[in-house]
Amino acid sequence: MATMRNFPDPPKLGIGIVWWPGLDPLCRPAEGLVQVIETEPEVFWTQCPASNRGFASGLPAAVRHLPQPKLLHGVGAPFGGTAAQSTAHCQTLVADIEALRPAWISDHLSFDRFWPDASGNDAPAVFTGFFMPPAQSASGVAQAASHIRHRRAATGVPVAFENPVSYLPPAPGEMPDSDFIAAVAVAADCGILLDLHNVLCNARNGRQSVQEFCNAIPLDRVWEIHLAGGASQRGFWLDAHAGLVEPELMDILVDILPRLPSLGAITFEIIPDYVAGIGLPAIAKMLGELNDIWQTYIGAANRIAAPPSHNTPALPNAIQPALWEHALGAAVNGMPAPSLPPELASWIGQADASLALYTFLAQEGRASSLVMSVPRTVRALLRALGEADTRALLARFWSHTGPAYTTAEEGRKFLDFLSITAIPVAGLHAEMLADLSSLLRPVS
Amino acid sequence: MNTNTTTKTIEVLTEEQAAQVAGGLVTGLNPVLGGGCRSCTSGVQPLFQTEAASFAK
Repeated sequence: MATMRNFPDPPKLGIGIVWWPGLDPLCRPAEGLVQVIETEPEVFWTQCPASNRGFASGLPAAVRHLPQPKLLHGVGAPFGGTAAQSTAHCQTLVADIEALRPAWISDHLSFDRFWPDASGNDAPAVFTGFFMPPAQSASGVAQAASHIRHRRAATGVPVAFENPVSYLPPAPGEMPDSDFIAAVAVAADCGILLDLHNVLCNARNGRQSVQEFCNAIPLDRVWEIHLAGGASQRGFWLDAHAGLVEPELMDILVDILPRLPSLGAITFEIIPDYVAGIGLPAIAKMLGELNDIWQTYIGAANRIAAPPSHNTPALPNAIQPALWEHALGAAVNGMPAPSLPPELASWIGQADASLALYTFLAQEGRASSLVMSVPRTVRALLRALGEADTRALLARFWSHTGPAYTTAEEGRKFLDFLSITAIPVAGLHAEMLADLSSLLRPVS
Repeated sequence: MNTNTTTKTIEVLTEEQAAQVAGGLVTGLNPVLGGGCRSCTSGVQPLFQTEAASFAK
């Protein structure tokens, strides 16, 4: 079946950046570097202590001083898993959309929670602590397309999904990465946020080559490109958002642009922790190069022919999403494994280096979230115990308690754990109470 | 890190402790304390490592 596109092309916005306050000097319109502001909305949401899972958004106020158009790139309700978007998440996202009027929104084709009990009872989902790659099968396609269609219906704006990074080796019977992306885009009739650094990571980590991937996805559905700098860790190349765009990735961008008739934005991602080390002038120089590339693209954009009609690939269904999510989530969080078909069980056993990496990444994410949510407690522990013993304590916490959905929940869970654990640190209790008071402060 | 909270912390610490806390201020800023979900990096979240390094003897 050939693809059918039932949506207009997005506006051609220009060069964007995933915004943090520290990047403000680059976003001044007079600089001419950034034409669109992308934000991760949930990072600016605060959990309302009195209403379970309700959120108050500080996003519109945070970006009010920026005149550029806004795009919203979700990090709290990815499309790639069994779990559906919560009502509270949907309501808060819709309010942000009404305030900021993005031309489109996007989220990840990953999963972030799973059910240890597949019997379908009312047991709560367990969070993975990290975005994990989805089940690349016919059921996975149908599941993701359903989530995307629901997001579009609930928000009333065009929706794109981001192709995921995966540190896993190819699994037996799974669809190739490009076939999975193509099938989801067609089934959901939506846009693609083509993260070229994710594609490069996947190629370097032993999955599909960049060329093979890009040749097999419906390029006329690419509305946005993401670029970032990576980092090496344990023999893997990570989508770390830790630096400038490397020359090889810039070449990939230049090569693919003449094949993208519907592109609306090229967005650079970097997390705040690395901005100081790289420096705003270096980021500004790179954004200038991207602006030059964009201008060349715009000059030729109306001459880009639509790519040949894309045929949907075959859809093998060897992997059931719920079982896939349970197996990976349990492996990463040290929980009992479900009963698996022999081929999948053997693959899990061979993927131990990848799974150990995910465990490490999830744990560093949890540790870092405590620095944000319970800073006084973390400092008191580091001052008294040092890093090694504090990490040993965190390891006990992680084996006792699974990852939380939000930073605030993670902080509260850690305080609960400390309250039932004898820690010989003078003054710790007072610091914990101070942190708890901050976490429970009513949201204005 | 919430700088308001940090300021309040420094107010109630001894001078030596405050200097140690100030060392913790080298960590990257995050706009929300105890807020929403983590950002979408698929790399190492470095905040704890940075914080721990600032307290290393």
